[in-house]
Amino acid sequence: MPDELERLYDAHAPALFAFLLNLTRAEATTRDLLQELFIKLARQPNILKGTRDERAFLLRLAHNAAIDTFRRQSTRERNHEALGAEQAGLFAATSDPDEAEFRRQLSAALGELPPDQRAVVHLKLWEGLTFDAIAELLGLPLNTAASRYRYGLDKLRERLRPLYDEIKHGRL
Amino acid sequence: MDDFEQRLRRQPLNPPPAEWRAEILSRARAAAASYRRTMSPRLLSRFREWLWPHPAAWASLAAIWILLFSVQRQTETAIQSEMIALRAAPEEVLEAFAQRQQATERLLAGLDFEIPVLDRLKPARRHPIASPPLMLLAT
Repeated sequence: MPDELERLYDAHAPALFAFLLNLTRAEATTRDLLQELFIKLARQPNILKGTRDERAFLLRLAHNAAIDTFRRQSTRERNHEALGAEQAGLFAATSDPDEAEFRRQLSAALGELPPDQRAVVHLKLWEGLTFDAIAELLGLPLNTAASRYRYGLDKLRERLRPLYDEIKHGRL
Repeated sequence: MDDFEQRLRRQPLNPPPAEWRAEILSRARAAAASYRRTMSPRLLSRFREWLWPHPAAWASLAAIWILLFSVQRQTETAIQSEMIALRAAPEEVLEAFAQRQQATERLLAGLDFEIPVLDRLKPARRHPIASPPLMLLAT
């Protein structure tokens, strides 16, 4: 029977991993942050006591840890990591070449977004959170969360439109 | 959500590498165990109970702050009003004091016995100095 820490890992580590990887764009940093998060959970078993939404609470902890890491890192380190963004492996591999190309370009386009827009886009699209929940999680006003999503999505749309249209009309 | 957003949403995200699970969990447990060894568990739990954000704890803290603030404000106001009263009417205070003194004097004048307190304040009576015997003066 899995203990509480194992349960938390199995329930939330995939989402936390994807969110952190999308934010940091580096697998090594993501691993360190995920490790740091689970050390905190092991040290403070009551940390989740009384929280309404476990996932949202953990995503907030992950986001704060990632922001702290950004602040500690130099610009040179961040640029170096950004170069490896396309190898970050954010999306699952596929045998369909159209899909594989779309995922590769989507990953690159996400890497070009400012981290604050990327965080909102990720939480909206892949966590399915409402703007209210995103605003609360990231400590933003509701309108800011919504506008960051809109700006981020417009950039992704602009960047991926040619490929998206080709795939949509089955010409690739 | 439009078609484009739906398509983005459908892109499956990679899970963390499988080997991470055992490593992360074992390191987390080891770190937690060494952390607990450094502090006694009882002290640790009490400390956590104390500091962990709890609605009742924060409400109590806020209530104490409000109480202290209001007491301080009341004290300040009382002191300020006393000072203002003293500055505004020093003559009245002096007059009241003078009236009280006159009343005391009138009361004392009506008494027909000597007040020992006043007696003690009088200078002590000096005895006349005896003159030297004539015999001594002659020698």
